[in-house]
Amino acid sequence: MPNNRCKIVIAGESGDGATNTVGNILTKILSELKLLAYQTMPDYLSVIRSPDHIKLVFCVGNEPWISAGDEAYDILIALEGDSHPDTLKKPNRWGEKPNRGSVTDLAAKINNNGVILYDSSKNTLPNGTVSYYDFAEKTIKTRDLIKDKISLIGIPITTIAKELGLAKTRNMIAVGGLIAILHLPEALEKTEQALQKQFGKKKDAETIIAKNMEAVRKGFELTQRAIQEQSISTSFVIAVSGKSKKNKEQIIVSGNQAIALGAIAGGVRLATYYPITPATELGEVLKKILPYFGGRAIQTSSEIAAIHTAIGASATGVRVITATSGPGLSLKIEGIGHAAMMEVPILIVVAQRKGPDTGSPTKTEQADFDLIRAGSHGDIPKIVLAPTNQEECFWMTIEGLNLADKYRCPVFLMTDLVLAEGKGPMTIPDSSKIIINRGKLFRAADIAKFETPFLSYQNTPSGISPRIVIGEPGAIQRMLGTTHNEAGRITTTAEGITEASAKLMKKMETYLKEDFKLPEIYGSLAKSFRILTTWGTTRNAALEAKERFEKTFGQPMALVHLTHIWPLERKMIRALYGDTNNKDIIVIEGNYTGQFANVLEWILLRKVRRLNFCHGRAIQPQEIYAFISKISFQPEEL
Amino acid sequence: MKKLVDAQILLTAYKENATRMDLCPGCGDIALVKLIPQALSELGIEPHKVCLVPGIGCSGQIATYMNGNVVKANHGRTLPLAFGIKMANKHLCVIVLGGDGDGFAIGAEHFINTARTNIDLTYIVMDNQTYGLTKGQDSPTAYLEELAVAGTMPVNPITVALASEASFVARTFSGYQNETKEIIKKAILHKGFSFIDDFSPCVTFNKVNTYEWFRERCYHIKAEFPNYNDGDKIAAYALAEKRERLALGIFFQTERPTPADSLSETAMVDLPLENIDIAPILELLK
Repeated sequence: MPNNRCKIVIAGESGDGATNTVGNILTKILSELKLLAYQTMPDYLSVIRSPDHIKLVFCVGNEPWISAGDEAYDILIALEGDSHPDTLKKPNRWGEKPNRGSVTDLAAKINNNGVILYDSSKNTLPNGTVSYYDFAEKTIKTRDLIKDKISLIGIPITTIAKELGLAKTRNMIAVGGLIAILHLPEALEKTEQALQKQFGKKKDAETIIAKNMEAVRKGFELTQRAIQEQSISTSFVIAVSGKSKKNKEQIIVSGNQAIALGAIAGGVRLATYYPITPATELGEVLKKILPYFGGRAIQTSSEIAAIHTAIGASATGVRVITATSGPGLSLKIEGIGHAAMMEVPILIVVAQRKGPDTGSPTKTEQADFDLIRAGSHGDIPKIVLAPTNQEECFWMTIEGLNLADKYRCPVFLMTDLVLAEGKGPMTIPDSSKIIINRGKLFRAADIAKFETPFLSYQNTPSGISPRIVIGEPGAIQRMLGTTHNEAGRITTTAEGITEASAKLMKKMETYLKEDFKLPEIYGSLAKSFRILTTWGTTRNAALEAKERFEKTFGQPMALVHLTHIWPLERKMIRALYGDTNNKDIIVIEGNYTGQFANVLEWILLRKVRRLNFCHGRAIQPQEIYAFISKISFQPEEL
Repeated sequence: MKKLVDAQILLTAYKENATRMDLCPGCGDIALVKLIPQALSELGIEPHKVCLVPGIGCSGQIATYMNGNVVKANHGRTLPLAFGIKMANKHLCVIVLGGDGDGFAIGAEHFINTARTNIDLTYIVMDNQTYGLTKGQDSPTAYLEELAVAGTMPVNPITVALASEASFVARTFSGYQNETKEIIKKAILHKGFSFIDDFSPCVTFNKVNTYEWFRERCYHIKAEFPNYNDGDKIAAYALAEKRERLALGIFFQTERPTPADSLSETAMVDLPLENIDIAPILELLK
């Protein structure tokens, strides 16, 4: 039966190019074919070469996926195939024996009717003995291939690569094999183009591209022959012809890339960053493209310099963005307070990773909400937005820039490693829908028309003061983080200080009235007994779990998903949840302490049930389903 | 022809609000409240074209008494802030005002890393060898007998600036106002990162490095060594290492490109924002 979607896992050794290169090439090929491809969080390590295996998970289809689904795959490309038994025994640099699951272990996670492509090369050692890792034999031990209808295709990947004279083409042989398994011969035509983009700038690009292309063809032919010989009827026929018109206008981008696009479209002309996983890509992309628009992305000497450079630029009137992750955010907190007190607009992208401290730099988490919400000394205004997918990343960047300008305060865009580095489809934006609202930013010429003289921090009913572009005749801007009066001069009187605090925080009252967006609701809150609550990337897995639950139990379930996560309009949210006396509210988060659940309890004035994950991986529907399908409502449990 | 701006315009803020100046009478920083506006005025730079970036400490207060755009930085963060201002609008005359604690203790990282970019700023450090605003703690430029015994030596701002590739390095003394003003003017005119270490005595908390102490030790490079070549970095190091007598004047200056050179003449805020065609970027990302 043809299937319109399938999930692929490509596993190999660090340095094999199993994640980066294959990921890039596949994204390029599949998006050329107008297929929807999602590249979920690449599972890699914070070292450049490690003995542990790394893997890339790819979802392909021609209809949208809700989430990347569970840790279960349709196709396994065992690139390394554990064909070097030595690497299995070799201790890592800390002297530990690798406790990795071998690539063979992934065979246990292959769905029934799945396909496994492995490296069947045999190594002849100098003493004449033949050494090779019998992948097939090991796999048979873990799975009943016949009962589970799993097809096993062995290709001497390493041997072919050696014959081609470029050992690095192993990953491309696997790409060719994958194209054959997916029955996508059209993809072969697109591959050369993709290779050109990937390797075009290298020395000897022509030779490299030709060899890689040959590798792809070889992989394709051998796999196709094996499919015919073994008469494998793979079910993964993704109908390219069945592509919908909608898919045509889509591109496949990472969250970081989508934010970079949003930043350009939203008027950012200066960006600052300090390299940090998983936010580095955003800075790098902007560094590449901002000069085309007269702007610059500056790699500063530290996270602290990054935020202060951005504040300086923003003070003159230009739109700015800065990107970081948890450890960088901790350093930036000082500057965030400074921007808030000086009333300088700034958009801070926080691509969360597993903390605390250095934590697990290449793993994901949702544990920076508390720091963003409450970080910085004193009371400061700030707005926090959390996109869920690449599309939202683009639009929320523009929204965040507009909010920062309107309220003259720091605005946060919270992504996480899964979203920032993961790739997914984004509709090519309609530029007529992009609205740039610079708030009360005036030119000096406009100031001349004011009835009263220009004051840097004029007190208005909304708390928002007009500001000017620095450098034009007719008005002077005085910005400072010391408690100041309307004219931007230091004030020390009780009245002056009270007024200054009230002015700052009044802006958030205005925000809640004018721009706060209520959560998205899935299902019926009134009819459902169980109400899931999510923010950020957790939504998609929760939606899939909700669907499964409804199908299995025939009971309705609702989901409340927040995008505008701070500040919160308490009364409106309480009204939205309605009477929750007889409801089971489950807050699903990727952190240990239930950072958002704490806030929700305060808003709803009742206890909520918490479902927390801190394993550093993308939360899977299965994990949520396992929890929600078991619990029974026991109020005293909460 | 440069337009001469009335120095009083730059000082209006001071005049209007000068019921009380929050600096001790005799403070070395007060000299700069007068000298910076005078220098700007003589160069014909109008207040709206000036962006003052004061730090934290007594030195950070002096911008309050001058007329020009002010963007005040956090403690030690003057230079990255000023870097952003200059990159966003290269037509602004950006003057950074800080103290020795601000620049060489909490902000030392920024000093090294901003100087080496050669961004076109004028950085004036009011060096009083103490933390005045918190009432007299040890500053990084203070020579203290009890610390020296234990091996801790003061920072030498001039050698740090030279080693950090600053393209204009000078030292002045608030007690010699005319000479100081002339150097400030040269620093403002210099294209690139210009650094002035201004000896600015703290009359309240520093009883060692007083006006007399400096008058006894300071001399003008030009007067003492008429043939001094300020393009010779090794000579500059040698001069800066002499601590018994303190040289004043330009130690070193050189010309090299600045980061804002490659920017268009349009300030970033004036770049078009609407109807941006992102199609070419999509090609880049593919």
